[in-house]
Amino acid sequence: MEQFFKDPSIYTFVRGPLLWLAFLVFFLGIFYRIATTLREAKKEKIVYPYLSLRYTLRSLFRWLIPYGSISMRRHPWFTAITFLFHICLIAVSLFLVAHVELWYESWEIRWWTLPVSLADGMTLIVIFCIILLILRRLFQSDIRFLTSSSDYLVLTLVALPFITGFFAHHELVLEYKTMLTIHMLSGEIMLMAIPFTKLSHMFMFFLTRAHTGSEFGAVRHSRDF
Amino acid sequence: MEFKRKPVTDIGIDETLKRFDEDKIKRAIDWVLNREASARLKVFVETCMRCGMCTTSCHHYLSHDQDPTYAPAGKVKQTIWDILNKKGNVTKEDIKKYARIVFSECNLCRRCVQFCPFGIDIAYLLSVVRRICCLIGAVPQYIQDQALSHMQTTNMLWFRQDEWLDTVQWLEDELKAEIKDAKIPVGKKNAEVLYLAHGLEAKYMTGLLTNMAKIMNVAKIDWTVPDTDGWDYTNKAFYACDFETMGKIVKTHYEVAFRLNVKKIVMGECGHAFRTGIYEGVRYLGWKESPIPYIHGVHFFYELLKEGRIKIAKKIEEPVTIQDPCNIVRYRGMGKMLRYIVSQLCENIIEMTPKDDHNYCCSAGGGMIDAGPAWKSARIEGGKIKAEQIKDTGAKIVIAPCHTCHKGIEDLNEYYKMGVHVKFLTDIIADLMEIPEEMKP
Amino acid sequence: MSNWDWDTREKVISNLNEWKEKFNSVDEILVSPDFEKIVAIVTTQEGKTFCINGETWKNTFERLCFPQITSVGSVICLALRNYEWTLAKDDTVMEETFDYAWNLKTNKDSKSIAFNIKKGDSYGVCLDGKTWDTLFFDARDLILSDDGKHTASYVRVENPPLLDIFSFKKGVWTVAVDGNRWDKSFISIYGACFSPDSKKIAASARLSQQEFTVTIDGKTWDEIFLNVWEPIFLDNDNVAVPVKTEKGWTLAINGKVSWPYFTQLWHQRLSPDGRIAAVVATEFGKWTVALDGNPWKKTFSHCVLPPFFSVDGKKICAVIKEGNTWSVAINGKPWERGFDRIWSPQLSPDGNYCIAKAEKEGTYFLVLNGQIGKETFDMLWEPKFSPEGDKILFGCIKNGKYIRKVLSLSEVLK
Ligand code: SF4
Ligand code: SF4
Repeated sequence: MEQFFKDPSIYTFVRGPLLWLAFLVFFLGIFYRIATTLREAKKEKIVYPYLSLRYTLRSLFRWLIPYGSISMRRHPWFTAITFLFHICLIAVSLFLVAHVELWYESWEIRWWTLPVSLADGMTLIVIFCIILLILRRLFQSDIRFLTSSSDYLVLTLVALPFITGFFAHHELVLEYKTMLTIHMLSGEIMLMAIPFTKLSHMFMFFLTRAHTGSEFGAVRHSRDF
Repeated sequence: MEFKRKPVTDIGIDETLKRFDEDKIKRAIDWVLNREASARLKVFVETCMRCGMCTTSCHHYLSHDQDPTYAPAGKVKQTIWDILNKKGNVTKEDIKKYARIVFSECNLCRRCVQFCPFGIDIAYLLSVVRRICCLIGAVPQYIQDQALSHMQTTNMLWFRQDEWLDTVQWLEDELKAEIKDAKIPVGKKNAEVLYLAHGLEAKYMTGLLTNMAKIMNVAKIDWTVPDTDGWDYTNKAFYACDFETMGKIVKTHYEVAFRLNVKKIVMGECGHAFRTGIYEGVRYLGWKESPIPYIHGVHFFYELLKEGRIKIAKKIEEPVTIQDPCNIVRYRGMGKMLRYIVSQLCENIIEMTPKDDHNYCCSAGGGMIDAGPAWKSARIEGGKIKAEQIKDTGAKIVIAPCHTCHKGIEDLNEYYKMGVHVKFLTDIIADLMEIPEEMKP
Repeated sequence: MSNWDWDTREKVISNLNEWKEKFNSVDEILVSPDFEKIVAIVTTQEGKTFCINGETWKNTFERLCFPQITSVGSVICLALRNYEWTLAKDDTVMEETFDYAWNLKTNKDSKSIAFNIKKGDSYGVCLDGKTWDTLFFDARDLILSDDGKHTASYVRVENPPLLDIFSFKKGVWTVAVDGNRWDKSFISIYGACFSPDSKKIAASARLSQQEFTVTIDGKTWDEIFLNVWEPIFLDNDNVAVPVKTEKGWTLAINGKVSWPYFTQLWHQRLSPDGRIAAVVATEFGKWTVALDGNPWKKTFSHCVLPPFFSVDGKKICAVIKEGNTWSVAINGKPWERGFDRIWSPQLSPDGNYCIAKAEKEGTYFLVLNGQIGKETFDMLWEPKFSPEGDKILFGCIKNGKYIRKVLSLSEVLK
């Protein structure tokens, strides 16, 4: 932040105030979305009375471990891709040395980091998975039928920080600092987009699964997986 | 991918649409989207990642050569997403398409929900569209007719009150030929069990009611049937999402039970009525659970056999397979009870794959069979996968403890030449059970 | 009631074991309001007949249906003889016969008897031997006025061909009073009731998918609701009915919303001192009684049956179900004990005592103010308080014998 006031430039802006803003929007956005959803769910009357912790957990467990549901077992490739994709995506975002360094610079906190080469590989996996996901949207008929341009946009939103990060790290295409600026900018845009686009599935997943898991398990005595 | 279908005319939809202006459509949509639907609709629509995990779960998709317009999320896209995208400004042609999809290409079986990583309730989303159609009045003629009958008579077939009473009385007389002093008590106060029948059992399928009465008599159940409206457990209004009528029917059933002071309601082998009797109707009225036990035929037979209240004299030897009705298995986990009963009745059981709560719908449920002859081919086509699944077992008998599954599979059997017999548990049990000497006339 | 025998502590009225030996079957056992008579439909060599305290009627029938004992102790029944239905009352048989007869009803003082009838393919009502002049394609249910002079039924006035949904949607049902139909017809009409002076009749009418209202003598209210349940008359002019609006269920009086909103509201009842109580769900799955719009604090999970009042209207009492057990709640306080089944409780004239018949695991007993009576019975009929409220009277079966018993209140528990 101070850096930006001392030396206002696009880089320091992206590194300072915008980052703040992005996190603010991200967290407040998530909070807002969850809060409004929970409030609206009250109007449904039949959501809360049937919620069951046990069956919510059962449902989450089944869907968070690879191949825990019949659906995942029926789609082995897609499941592999999505799990790899999500794991790498989250791991790189949280445990990349460069990211953790930033936290340290600002807050003097640090945590475990990924070995650089592994992080690099994971970044490539994320990019590769996104390409597969795009190909799938383009060529698998049932998914093409469902897909609209916004789905590609969302994929692009996710892809950009990884591509630019990779480029910056290896000093490809553009000069390091410019690329880094673009990387941070795209990352911030993605963060801010999460609560308000389909990326909200990141947290909505827990809400919908709680409802459906409880409804299937506690009320209907059958499986939702 | 285009929405290609053979033209079908159904005056319930086509004629109705001619009689209204598009204003009415907009009003109905606004009402349902703003006043009735809430968080679930919004979250389910927003959270769907269009990942296609649900696609192959649906028997309609599988039976239609993997046509994406039949896939669960595909149907959602072509209906509710479309409505939302157009902000409710849809044409009559749109409604016609929606009605066709929601009434004749989805059985509300919820199998797809089990396959969606987010647990998105696709059946709910499609029933929101049914509700919109209902408020416009664009409902298949046969469903509408039955719902109209339910509105006043509470039964599905415009039966007059004496026709029910008279039927029960002559059935009792007939049963006396088989069971000494057999009784079908009518409106008996303080009985343990209030038995409700399927509307058709009072007219075209009386044998089934007689067989249930036979089982009741042999098992020495203290039972009764209603002496007023409310004897018919069916609730076809539910198919149209005509919640007003659906609620009234369920209210009538429980009020008859309270008036007669029975301990529980027992119904026969029917899926949708069980579903409305313990979920949809009850919830519409504000009950979290049924106020008194509402027992499905499968559950009832299970208890009779477990407690030894009836004994099975001989078993069926031919190979049988089991149809798991969605509304009692995926919706209530009765697969185990059903299998216990069948194991007591049959020597040779060959299971379908998939089975139990992952089983495919018969393709007749959720109102598709009640939509009438115009839509018969839709359910026959959608049932191709079911027919294959049954054929693969090589069974000669399909046990289907649900009126809808029963008729649906009979029709598939005829069309796909499966060479099976479809049977109700009631009929099999009445046939195979021991009748104590002193009860024989 | 005051002239009933409140002194004989125990009368063995009849031995049912003997009946069972004597007759091929003994069904539909009933007892008279004063518990002096026990009645059953029995099968003799000649056919079906009634056995009253061991004595049978002279008349026999092919079938006897819907038997009742009226408040003055007459035995009435709809009877089938020679393939025709008629009314049998105290061993006399009405001359007129019908192709079918059902829904047997008596008015308050039991002077009038009415039932639904079918003649040929036409339907209507027979009141005290006189059949409506106009009959209909269908007539469902029977509503009899308190004075016993008027009858009403829901009748079908149009007969479009099957599946002609557009004609049916115009409405083919209306109310006929004494055979005269209302002009308007509806897609559904229900909940009809007469005013206390028997001059007016109100019913709920469904006009379209989501338009419901109340109609009084065929004149509908201007107010339309999303749904309505059954109306009641508060006096000869005012009608109260549960209605559903966008905000939920509430009570409307003469079309005007008069109560707060609830998740559910039904079975509104008028107290002797002019208040209204109704069964409400304050939230999804939380049931209780509301008095003049104020719900009891305590709610019950499974259900609450229609409330009723003590003579002075100060005590309100309802059967409730919490979890799997039935019990009784008075002025918002439930009894501690629960039962497998409980029957409508009786309040003593001063409202201080409440007694009910209850069942647990197949045995029957009395419950007084929540305390279980010491005696158990094979069968039991709902007890009554003496006019002074110091004794209770009931009928029961023990070892096959029907016994009429009078107990002082203190004896119930000892
Ligand atoms: S599986 Fe769920 S998220 Fe995926 S397309 Fe189907 S409904 Fe949408
Ligand atoms: S038919 Fe069943 S599986 Fe197919 S969309 Fe409807 S609810 Fe889902």
